[in-house]
Amino acid sequence: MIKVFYLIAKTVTLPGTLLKAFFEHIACRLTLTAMDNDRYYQGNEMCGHVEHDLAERKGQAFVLCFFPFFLSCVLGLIFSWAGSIDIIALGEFRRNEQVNLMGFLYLYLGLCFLTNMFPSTEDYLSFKELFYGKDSKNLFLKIILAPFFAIFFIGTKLEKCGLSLLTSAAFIFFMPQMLALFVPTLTNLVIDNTAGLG
Amino acid sequence: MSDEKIFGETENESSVFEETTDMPGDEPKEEIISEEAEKTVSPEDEELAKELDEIRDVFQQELDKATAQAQENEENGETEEAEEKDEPEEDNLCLCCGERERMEGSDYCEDCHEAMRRYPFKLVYFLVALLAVYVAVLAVGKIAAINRGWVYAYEGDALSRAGWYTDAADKYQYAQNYLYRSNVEPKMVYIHNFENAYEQGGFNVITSFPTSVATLFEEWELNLPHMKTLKQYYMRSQVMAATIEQVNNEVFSKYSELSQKDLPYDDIIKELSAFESRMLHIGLDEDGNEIEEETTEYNGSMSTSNAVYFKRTEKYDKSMLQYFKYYFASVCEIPYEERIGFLEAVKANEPEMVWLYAADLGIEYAENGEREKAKEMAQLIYDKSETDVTSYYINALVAKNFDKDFDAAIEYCNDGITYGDNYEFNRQIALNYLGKGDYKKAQEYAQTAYDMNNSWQTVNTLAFCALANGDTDKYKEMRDIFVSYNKELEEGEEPVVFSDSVLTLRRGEATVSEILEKGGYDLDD
Repeated sequence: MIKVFYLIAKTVTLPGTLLKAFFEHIACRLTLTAMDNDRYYQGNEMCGHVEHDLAERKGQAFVLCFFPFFLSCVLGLIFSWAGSIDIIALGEFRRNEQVNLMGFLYLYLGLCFLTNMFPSTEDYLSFKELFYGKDSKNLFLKIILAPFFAIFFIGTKLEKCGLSLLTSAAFIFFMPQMLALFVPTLTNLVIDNTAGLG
Repeated sequence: MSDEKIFGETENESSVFEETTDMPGDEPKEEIISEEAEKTVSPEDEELAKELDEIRDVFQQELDKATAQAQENEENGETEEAEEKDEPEEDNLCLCCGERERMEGSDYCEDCHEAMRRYPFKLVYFLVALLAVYVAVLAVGKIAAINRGWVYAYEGDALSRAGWYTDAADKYQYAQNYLYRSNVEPKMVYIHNFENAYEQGGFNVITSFPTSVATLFEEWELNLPHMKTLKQYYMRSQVMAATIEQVNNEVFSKYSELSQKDLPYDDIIKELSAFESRMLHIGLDEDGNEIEEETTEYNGSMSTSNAVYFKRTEKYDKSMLQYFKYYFASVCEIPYEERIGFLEAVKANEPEMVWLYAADLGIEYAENGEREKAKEMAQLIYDKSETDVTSYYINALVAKNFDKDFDAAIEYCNDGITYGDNYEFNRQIALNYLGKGDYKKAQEYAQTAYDMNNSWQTVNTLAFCALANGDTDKYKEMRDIFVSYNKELEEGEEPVVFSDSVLTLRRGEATVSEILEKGGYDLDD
């Protein structure tokens, strides 16, 4: 049943699914990690990921987890920001007497990328083993990477059950309130400084 | 069993065979056979022997071939065994190429594994990724275009929640103007702006509310879940606006020619009470039929002027009718106990309509000896809207009239001026300085009030302060206003004179403080 939810989530957010796998592919090339195949969309738990050798080095594990996560996250946040402010906060449902397709597209793409930004279970476990395993003794790295580890841990669990679709949707819905915590202050600061310069 | 049966041949066949086997090479055998035959063997046995010989030859040939092959195989035997030993088992072949042996711990051979480290990309995904980046750039452009407008709208929301409706309205207006330039139609900002305006209240807002909402929204939009509150406000404002309009048409217009003293108070109250039992038709005629709306073409699109949504029949707004009763009671100078009842009825029926009753009720209480109730109203207004100057005004009246705390009263007035400069605040400050005995400052503020609004009230206050301050020139200047006004009066019109307070002080019949105490620290008009 969980696999069904997973595949539904992956299918609904297909653009994000494919590009996340593509980003993983790039990460594999960057780290010279051998890939088994380039089937980005497949009917199993590796849907939206590429099958590759397990990471053997810390740097490799970090890049394999972080690089696709970072790209998907950045794209997801950009699209979500534009979509949630435009549609949810301002309510620009229509534009020039037509449905505001671009606004809804931003919302959808934001959902796609945020849903698929987390690493695969194998990548997460490699990351965990290499950075937080018995042989890892670098406390500094452990502390620095703790937030990512937490995000990967929660995200991987959520994605495995297909729940990342729901959490991403909720995140996008409440994004204007979250942005309101710092964007107005930042905007006013920038405007004041710009006015001062002028 | 005979030989014939063993070989399956008939006698005829044997005869045929005999004819065809007569070859030159066979001569010696034939000779031997013939010699023997001559002695002991029959012709049939001879034929059989021939056949057997042929068969033997064939077997021998095959045997020779097999032996030669066996010898050959024997010679090559060692090499093949070695090759067989070198060939990997099928299970251990590389999954990719299927030829070479797998690496240890891998499904692939070394060459394939090395190649898989550089697994080629498909062009289509590069194109999809580029498209995603392009759309992301567009999204960043969109964020840049709407961000400032959204910040204004957000600030408007925050101010509205805090009760700063006027400031919130300003922010919403900035947001709408900014987003309009970006060709954005921000429906949520419109909704919040309307809700803010309704919360703020006011007769002008309420009467124009239904039309304003109908200009920007369709009827089906008002049924959407996120517009539930606005729909409630819209429907209520329809009833209130229609009540105001009908009362204006049927009552105000009827008595507009009459002076204050001639107004038939009892008749007016009866007429207003009659509205309570009548039905109000919204978007319908008297028979309950829908009134056709005028549809006009504007800029290529059809628009409906004065569209009315949720057409229905409803009762007139009771609170609004009660307020009108209070209004006429106040104009007709009906005793306090009677007129205050109308406002208290509004408060009892709909305590949330603070804008309708609280200001008048608070001032009535403050001017009629009900200190605590007045403070309560001031707090109610303040809680609803910090920027509503009425709360400061009522507090100033309470401080002056009840507590004789003129400094506190002046402070309340100055607070009120911060949120909305008003001649009345300046006039009140002048009265408070009179109470403190600082007549010079009193005259300064009275002058400011007069400059802002040259009504008979401000003229009297300034004249009173000038007399208290000993500024006879200013007093004469004020007196000249009356003189010049009275000169231009037409026949039948009553001349206007200074108020009793001014005349009493001018005649020296009482001191400033005596007059103020007698008048409840205010001056009659």
